[in-house]
Amino acid sequence: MSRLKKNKEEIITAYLCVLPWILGLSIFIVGPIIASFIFSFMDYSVVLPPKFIGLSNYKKMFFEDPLLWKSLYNTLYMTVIGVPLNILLSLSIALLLNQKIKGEAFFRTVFYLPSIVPQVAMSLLWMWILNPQIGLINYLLSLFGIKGPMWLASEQWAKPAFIIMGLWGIGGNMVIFLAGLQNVPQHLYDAATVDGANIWQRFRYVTLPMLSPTIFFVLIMGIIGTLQIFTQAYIMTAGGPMDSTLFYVYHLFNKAFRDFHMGYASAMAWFLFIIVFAVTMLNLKLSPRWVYYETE
Amino acid sequence: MKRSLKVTVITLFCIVSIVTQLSLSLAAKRTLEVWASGGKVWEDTYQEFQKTHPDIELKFVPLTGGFDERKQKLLSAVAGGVPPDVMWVDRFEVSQWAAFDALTPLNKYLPKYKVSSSQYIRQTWDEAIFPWDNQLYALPWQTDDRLIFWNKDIFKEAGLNPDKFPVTWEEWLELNKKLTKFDDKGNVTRIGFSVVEGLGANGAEWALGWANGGEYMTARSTKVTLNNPKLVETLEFLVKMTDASGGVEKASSFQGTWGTEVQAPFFAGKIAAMINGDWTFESIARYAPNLNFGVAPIYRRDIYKKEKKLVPITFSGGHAFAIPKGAKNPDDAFQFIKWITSDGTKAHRKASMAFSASMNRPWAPIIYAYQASNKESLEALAEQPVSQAIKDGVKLAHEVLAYTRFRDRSPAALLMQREFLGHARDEALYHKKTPKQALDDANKVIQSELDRLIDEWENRTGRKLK
Repeated sequence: MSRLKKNKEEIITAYLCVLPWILGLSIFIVGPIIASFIFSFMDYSVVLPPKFIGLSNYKKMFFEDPLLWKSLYNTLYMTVIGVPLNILLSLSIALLLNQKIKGEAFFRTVFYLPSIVPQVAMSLLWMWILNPQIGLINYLLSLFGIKGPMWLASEQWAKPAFIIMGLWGIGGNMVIFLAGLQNVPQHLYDAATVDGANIWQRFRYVTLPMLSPTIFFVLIMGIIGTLQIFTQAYIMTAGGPMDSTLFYVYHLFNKAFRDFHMGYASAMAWFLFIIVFAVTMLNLKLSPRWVYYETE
Repeated sequence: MKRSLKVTVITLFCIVSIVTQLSLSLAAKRTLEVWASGGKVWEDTYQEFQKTHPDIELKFVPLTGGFDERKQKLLSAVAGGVPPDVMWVDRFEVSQWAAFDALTPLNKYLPKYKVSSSQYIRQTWDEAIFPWDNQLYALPWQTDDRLIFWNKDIFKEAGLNPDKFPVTWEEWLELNKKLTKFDDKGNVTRIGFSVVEGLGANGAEWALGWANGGEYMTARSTKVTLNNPKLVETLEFLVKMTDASGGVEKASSFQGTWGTEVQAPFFAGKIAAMINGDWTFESIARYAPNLNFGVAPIYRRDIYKKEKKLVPITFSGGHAFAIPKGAKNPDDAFQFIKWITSDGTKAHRKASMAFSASMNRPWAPIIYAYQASNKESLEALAEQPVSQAIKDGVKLAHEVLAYTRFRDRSPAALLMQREFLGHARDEALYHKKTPKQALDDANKVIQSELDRLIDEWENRTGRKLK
């Protein structure tokens, strides 16, 4: 009897302890998520009471808003080209920095450093670096006799410019890869070496499979992050030139906070959620083909 | 027993303190919550209000952050039912707020507090009226306008008459071609005459559209007319001008090399001539006091072509003070916005002059919407140690206000701005679409949004616009 009572007390205490978190989650996260789902079927301009309009927002989105598709294309472009490049480069640098070399800690710091620069500062800095006339990049290209493109002023080059800028901040992924590399047991390499594997074979048949869960994680996070890309375009190009950097979330922001078209913006948010969800599911589905878990 | 005593004591303590708080706040002065710009000059101005209105206690909350951020704060406060009593708004957005029923109409307060439209510059007053219900939703505080500025030294060097700016657009194009310079790699090193916002100019597009006799919307803002032939012709001209200064890509990468303050492109000789705002005079006084510059109005092209008569045209924006719907204390709020837009502008000028003096900076006035205050501004400027050219320029900026226009008032005003300057203009400048196509497309987008807003408004108010 008293034991039962004590148990009950413990349970109550436990709930009280997690209560702040539960409240925070339900008020600030779950609540708005549900609200946005409801608003997506409404005409809602924040100040006026919302009005139910059925599927109109979705209809308008899919059939009457060419900018939606353009912004989706821009965002997918960044994802399809930017994320693999990012992984390739951060993995390569992690591999290099995983060697026992002099000044290893120094180099790791140097490569990690850019990723702690706030997005806003980074954007302002890169506006100078990317300037076609006086920027560093075009200057370096000119040393090789290449006439650099107009970068942010050009419809074709603005997105690649953002991708290059993103590669500057690979430090975060690099650290994750480094941690993953530390976890590859030395005995596997030793065994491979004994079997006569060369450096490429050791990488291909030992490092890569052992690292595949890390790559998978970085891939998923990278895709989700890139699908929500916003800050750079907001600060550097305002979506231009010619909507070439109007990304999905930026378009959503315009609709929500500039036109007060919250219902429509909520519908857009849910469409993005479905895309992210589908892409992630597809990734999970495909992952058994290439991701290797040691515990299996 | 002991425990319940503790609980009782705490509860009692809470009740007592709440009751004391309540009675204290009830006994206190009427408070007025104002959300507006901060900074030394404003704080001094508010203090002056406090002195003249001892029975009202001003609770001032400075608005920080950019344009978007400020608006979101106000929006969530109004939506949440806890709006301030007074808020500072961009005048061209007043109609958007009004259409969403977020502001208190002011008409009924005007006779009560003896406020008349004639005290204010006509256009600034009109811009605060929502054309769908003809109610006034804000009192205008300040305004600005646009003029042509040119660098006389560059004109002389190029063998042009430095004292006269050409009038026709054909001459402007020639001038731009002549004064734009490139280096041996083909990079732009100087723009001859900038008429594109973001590439050295400000507000030029709107002004030139009107100069050409174009209209962006119908009078009551129910139909978008962005694609009318006059505006198409204006955009064609903007494209020609931009192409003459190297094309939009080269011009914008040149723009990326510009500095600010002393290094601003006009002061550094990187722009020979531009259409820009009257605030340029203050910058000249501060950063380039020895600049040899000229100023001229933009003239109506359509009238000049027909009658050879020079009629100025310019473009004004500016800010206003409004009372949100649901403000707890609208009468005091009105007293405040009346004061801040009339006598308060004098206090504001005094504070800004004192501030400039304390920073050892030259002073030049901004333009207030309150007419009487501007006369005093010009008198104050006459005493200032700034060049005669600046004094004459500021005077001209005040004179052309009689001819000024503002962007069409509509709940879709922001979308119009984005579609016109952000999309249509860029599509034309980048030669993606012809100016006609670009404006046709933008017109459709804005009209569809406007129709939605009209429907919403008609359904809610039970009134008909068409």
